[in-house]
Amino acid sequence: MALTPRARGAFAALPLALALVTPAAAWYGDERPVTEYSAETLRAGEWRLYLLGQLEYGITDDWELGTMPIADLIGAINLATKYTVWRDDTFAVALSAGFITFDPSGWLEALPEVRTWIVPVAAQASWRPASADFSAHLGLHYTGLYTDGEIDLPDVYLNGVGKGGIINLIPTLEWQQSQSFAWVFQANISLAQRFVAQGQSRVETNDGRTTIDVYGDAELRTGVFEHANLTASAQWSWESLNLRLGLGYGSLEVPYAGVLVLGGSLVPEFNLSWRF
Amino acid sequence: MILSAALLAGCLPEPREVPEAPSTAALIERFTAGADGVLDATSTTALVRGLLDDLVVIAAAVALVAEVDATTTELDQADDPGSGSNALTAEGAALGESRHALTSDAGAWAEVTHICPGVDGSLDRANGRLRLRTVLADFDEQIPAWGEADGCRVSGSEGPATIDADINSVLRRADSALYVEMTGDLRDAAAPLPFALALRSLDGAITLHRIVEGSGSFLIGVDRLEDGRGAVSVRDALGEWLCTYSQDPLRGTCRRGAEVLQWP
Repeated sequence: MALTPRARGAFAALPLALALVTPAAAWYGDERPVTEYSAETLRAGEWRLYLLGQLEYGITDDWELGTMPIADLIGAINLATKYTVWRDDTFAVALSAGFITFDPSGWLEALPEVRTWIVPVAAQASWRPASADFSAHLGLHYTGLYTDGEIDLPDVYLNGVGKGGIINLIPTLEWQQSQSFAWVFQANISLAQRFVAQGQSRVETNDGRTTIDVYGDAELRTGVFEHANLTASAQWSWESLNLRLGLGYGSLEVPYAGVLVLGGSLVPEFNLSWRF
Repeated sequence: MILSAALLAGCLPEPREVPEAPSTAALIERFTAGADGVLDATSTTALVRGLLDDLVVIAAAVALVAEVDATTTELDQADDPGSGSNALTAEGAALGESRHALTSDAGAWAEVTHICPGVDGSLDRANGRLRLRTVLADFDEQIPAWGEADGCRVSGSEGPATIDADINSVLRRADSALYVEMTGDLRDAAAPLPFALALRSLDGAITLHRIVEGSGSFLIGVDRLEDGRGAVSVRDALGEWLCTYSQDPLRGTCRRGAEVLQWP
């Protein structure tokens, strides 16, 4: 769909217009720093709620906890935590970890028992030179995946187990335009992805005279830089409302799993949260 | 990168090794390349005498081939998305496809255990079993299946028989011909009776590959192979003969068009 010149102009001017109308209390600073891609955390007693339901809380100025309550309610128990282990005027380093586990048979009895665990851990570093209007951030992320399940019917039995490990490097450059507006350029680069799956099925046919056992193995590896994406975003950080709109190009990321697949895709980015 | 490798490889199991199917090219060629022997009075006598000597073994093997055929057909149907065996199709065929979709490290194989029919066709584990393995990803043009018969009791035209044998077979999708070679022992005699046979089953007709020392190879149609007076079709290097015989005394006539060969 081609945009008219007028529409293209309006689209280009939208970030600037939003920046101009932002309140004076908008924020990029030490008191309420950006936390998503940086080594910073929410401050003590501070809450953050994302539009899609993720809730975070600052236990101390250096330590935050997060979860997705809606997912917890339907049995997908999850928890995430991040801790800033070191910080000075220019640098900060943080470690983070979490997990999400779910089993669809807990949602509906008719569904098979398939247990899945996703465990992400990461180290993040931030560099914000004094008086500079930019900051650079680097995250090294490892995500472990595990799933297993079985189906046991009178003539059919299936079981399988799958494991995976994903390592991603996520560099981010934040270019601040005003107290409330910044351009954010973020890359997500796959350093390694490996998945191993093993499955077995047993089928009885011929009135039980013939039993067919099927065994399957699959292994998938991807190499360094084989999958990556780059996202350019406009980010507004007002007193409590945070909005990020952007467009990415490259591999698609499977939510929560950190897995990068395919390539050559355009992916819009939309992220809205409140800090209070 | 060293850390990456440790994190990714150290915690994950290595894939299980996909069994390697034995070659069946030589087995198929025995039947498709045609016979190289030439039938004459001497070779005919040796051929028919050998067939009659092995009559019990051949009858048992033919019955066992029927079981291999049924078992392989189950696998074929299970791999066909249009068939009714959807459970295997969902798991097995999908895994078979995954071999192509992922990497060369992926694959799927199956093991089929078939309880032998015994004398009366009853479902009784005491009748022994036929166990065959196959690699699902090889199913495009043919279904290789190999394994063993373990005390497999069948009822052949010469009576009940119990077979221990190593089996190598392949079902060609193009013509639905099943090629089987088996090496083993017939248990029922006072001492185990060793045998080695190569057969083809096509539309229910059994062809036996037979070598007569000093004369070469022949393809024998054993449908009417019987004790006493019977008949076999014999394909030699020059064409197909129909041979009728009487066992005692062993003599007979082979005809191919106007050609007549009497023996002894």
